[in-house]
Amino acid sequence: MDPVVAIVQEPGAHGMALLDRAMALSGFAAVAREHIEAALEATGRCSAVIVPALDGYTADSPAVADPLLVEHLADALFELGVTDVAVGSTRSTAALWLENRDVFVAADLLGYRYETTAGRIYDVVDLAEEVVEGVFSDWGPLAGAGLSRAWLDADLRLVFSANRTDEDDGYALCLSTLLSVLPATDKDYHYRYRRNAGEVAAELMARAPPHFAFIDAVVSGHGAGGGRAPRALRTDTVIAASDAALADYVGALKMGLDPFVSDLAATSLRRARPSPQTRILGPLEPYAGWVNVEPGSRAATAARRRFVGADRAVRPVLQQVDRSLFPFRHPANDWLNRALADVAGAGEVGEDGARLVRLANLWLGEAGTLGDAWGVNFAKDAIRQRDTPINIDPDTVPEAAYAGLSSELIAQTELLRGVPADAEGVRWRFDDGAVVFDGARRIPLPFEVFVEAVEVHRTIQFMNDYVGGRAVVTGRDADGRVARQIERNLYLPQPNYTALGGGVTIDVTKVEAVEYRPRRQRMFWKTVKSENGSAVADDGIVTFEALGDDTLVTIWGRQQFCLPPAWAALDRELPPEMKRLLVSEAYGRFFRRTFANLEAVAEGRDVRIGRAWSEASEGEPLPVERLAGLAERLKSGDGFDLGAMLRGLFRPAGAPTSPQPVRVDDDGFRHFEAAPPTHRASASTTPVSGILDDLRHAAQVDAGAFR
Amino acid sequence: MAGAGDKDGERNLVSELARRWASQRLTAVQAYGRILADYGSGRSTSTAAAGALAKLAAEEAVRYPADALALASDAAAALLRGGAQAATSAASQASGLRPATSPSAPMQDLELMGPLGGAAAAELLLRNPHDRAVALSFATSDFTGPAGETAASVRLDPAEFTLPPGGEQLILVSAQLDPEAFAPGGPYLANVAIAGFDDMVVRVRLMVLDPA
Repeated sequence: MDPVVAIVQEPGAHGMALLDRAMALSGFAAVAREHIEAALEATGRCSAVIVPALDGYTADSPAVADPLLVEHLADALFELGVTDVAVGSTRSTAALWLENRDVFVAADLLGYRYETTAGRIYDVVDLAEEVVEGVFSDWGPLAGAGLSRAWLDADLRLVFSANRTDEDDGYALCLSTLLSVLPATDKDYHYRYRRNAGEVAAELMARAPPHFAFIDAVVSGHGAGGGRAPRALRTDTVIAASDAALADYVGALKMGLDPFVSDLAATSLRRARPSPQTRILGPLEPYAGWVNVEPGSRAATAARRRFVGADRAVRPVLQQVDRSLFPFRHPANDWLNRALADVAGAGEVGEDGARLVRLANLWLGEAGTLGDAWGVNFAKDAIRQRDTPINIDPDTVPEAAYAGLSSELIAQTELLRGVPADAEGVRWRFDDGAVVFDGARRIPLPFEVFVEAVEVHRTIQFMNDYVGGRAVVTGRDADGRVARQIERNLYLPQPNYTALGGGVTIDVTKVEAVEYRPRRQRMFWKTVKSENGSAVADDGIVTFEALGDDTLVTIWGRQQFCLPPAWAALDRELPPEMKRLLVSEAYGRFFRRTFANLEAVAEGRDVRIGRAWSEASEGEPLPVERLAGLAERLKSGDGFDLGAMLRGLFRPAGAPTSPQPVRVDDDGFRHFEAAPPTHRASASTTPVSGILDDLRHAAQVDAGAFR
Repeated sequence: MAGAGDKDGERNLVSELARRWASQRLTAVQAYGRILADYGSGRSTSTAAAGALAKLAAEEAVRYPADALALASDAAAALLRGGAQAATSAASQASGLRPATSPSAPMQDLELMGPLGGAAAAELLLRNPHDRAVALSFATSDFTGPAGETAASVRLDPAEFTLPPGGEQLILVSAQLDPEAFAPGGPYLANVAIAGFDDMVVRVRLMVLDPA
């Protein structure tokens, strides 16, 4: 069957009538019957799972697919021969901060009755209850994640979205609703912060897509506040599509949006882009009176989302909630929500509140950016590790791409001939815009001991400033050792100080080949893709070699990273000798730290920088829970003076921060009274000075003071 | 290796730049906070607050890269000053000394060349910079060439000796270019570790010529 989308729109028409007509126009019955007959023939039974939008926090919320329509669809399925119909979903992030968000309770409160209008019984299932592991590829965005068995095994999989605007993605339709089949409770944490939501949705669409998708646009949720403060608008429309991405494409057009504004949907949309065979039936004119989330608000929300802690703290505070249905789990959220949610949703369509939220989001985004830049330079263990999939299909890489690596790269090592090694054993030179370099270090461990502890195919993961990535083995030698590999690496911005002015994470995907000899092991790598355009080249060779009683480690590389515009402008103006000095310093630092890391790994120590993402379904504790812990500490009276700490941190600009001079002489020197005798730090300032000491220590470590 | 003075300078530089950067950004954050506080307390309207934010954002858009550039320039200038001082220091230390290899330069490169069936040789001068005598010997790896590893290596003469404080020793590094191990061309690479100078490695690069 060719891809099809049916849009049925008629002012004043009943929702069920619109759904019937949309099913008829889209040919849904023919598609469903095909699956139903196959299932009945095979097992005598046929199961269908409908995943509806349940992201509503009030009765009759326009952000929820109307339960009556969902039950009407269930009736239609029964009439077509389906024997078991279930409405399925999972707990969402809101379940962490609201009561009654378990699937069964929420479904009940939002109007699901377990019995259709025609009196047929259907079930409500929590799709997180029985999860199948190993469903997704081990190199894709959902590697290691499970998937609901009920969804995976259903003979008919259907998604039924509400029609709503969204501050994150502009719109939230079928693909957004589809994330409900993933089992982790904190969807935001696992599928939006930790992973790329667009890649997640696309992977889900590739592995277990819905067979048909519906959008309930009879009464829609529009407005500048998105799902945070939805405004009901009658749009008298139902959309039915053979592909969830196509449904989203048309749904976005009906909102007057470019469908690709949604990062969550864009990857799937590119795969399902309408072709000449695609039939789009019905009116595509935008809904009358429709108000979208402004682009500035989307951008500000994206900025805030990058500051994970702040984003998780703010969402419960701003969400409009009917407390009688969904009470807050934590009194602090309840109190803050009472104070702020209505203000943040103010205006006829939420526009006044949205502007205020945008200001706050920009501020939080700026704070997050500053924090990240600080972390890159001075507190690397505070930054989050990156969890990224392999972004090329390993099956598309031919054997020749691996086999040719050694000869291609070894030939380039000759470029360093005649270049003297510096005092740290490092050689480098410019070559066609790239830096070609090498460095070597004798490590006082026997070769056999060293290679046992440091697997040569993992060497890149031990290099300086490696912050995450993934490797997938594509070939092994006769002894089962890794011989072929595709690896994606992410490094902190290089040099680190570019993070202060727009420097981006280095993101490179490499093809790698490994050689094993009795007295030498060697890995070759060549960059074949840089997802964010941060590198033109990042190729290299690492060699572990027996030399007497020691192991000689040699790293050769060719790197060409792309600087952000401001730094590139500065780079062009640098005198050659200054540039040489900076490059020497950068590579000297790289080798010092990388060799130190390799020695540490050989000694069994963990050298990975950054903090790992939590694997718990609920993610990390919410910020409000951490604050509650802090409050407990305050109550316990252990001498921690929050007031003094805050006064110190937020001293107004211009306020005296140091003793005032008693006199400024003609040469501009400032003269002061003698300082009073020093005294022991009070208990109230000790925690702050401790933090500063920690920061200073981190900076010194970063500067290489402790080695 | 960088000396203690270099490290102190680097620490001071990093500390100073970090302090400047943090104070510049803190000012901006405080300004954002004031706008929000004024709006929240009713002292300004949403239009006024939005206008103030836009103005501040525009100023920051200009100031941020300018600050970053200024910091980077200062960092580079400081490093350049440090580098120039180091170079001056090294030059004064080196004056009057014969060029020799010491463990303060851990990686040394040596090139050999000779006809297939013959021999290739070069000299290496080792100097002991320590204030104590050092017993030295060598460990070598086999040559690796275009066709992979060979069963041949370099020979060092003398193979072991003791170098007094400040003393120097000329070493003859040679290889027999046996046709069973080598073919004309190259390069063939081998490494020599010097026991006694425990960081030091001599990288030997050999080119094999056609038979004479």
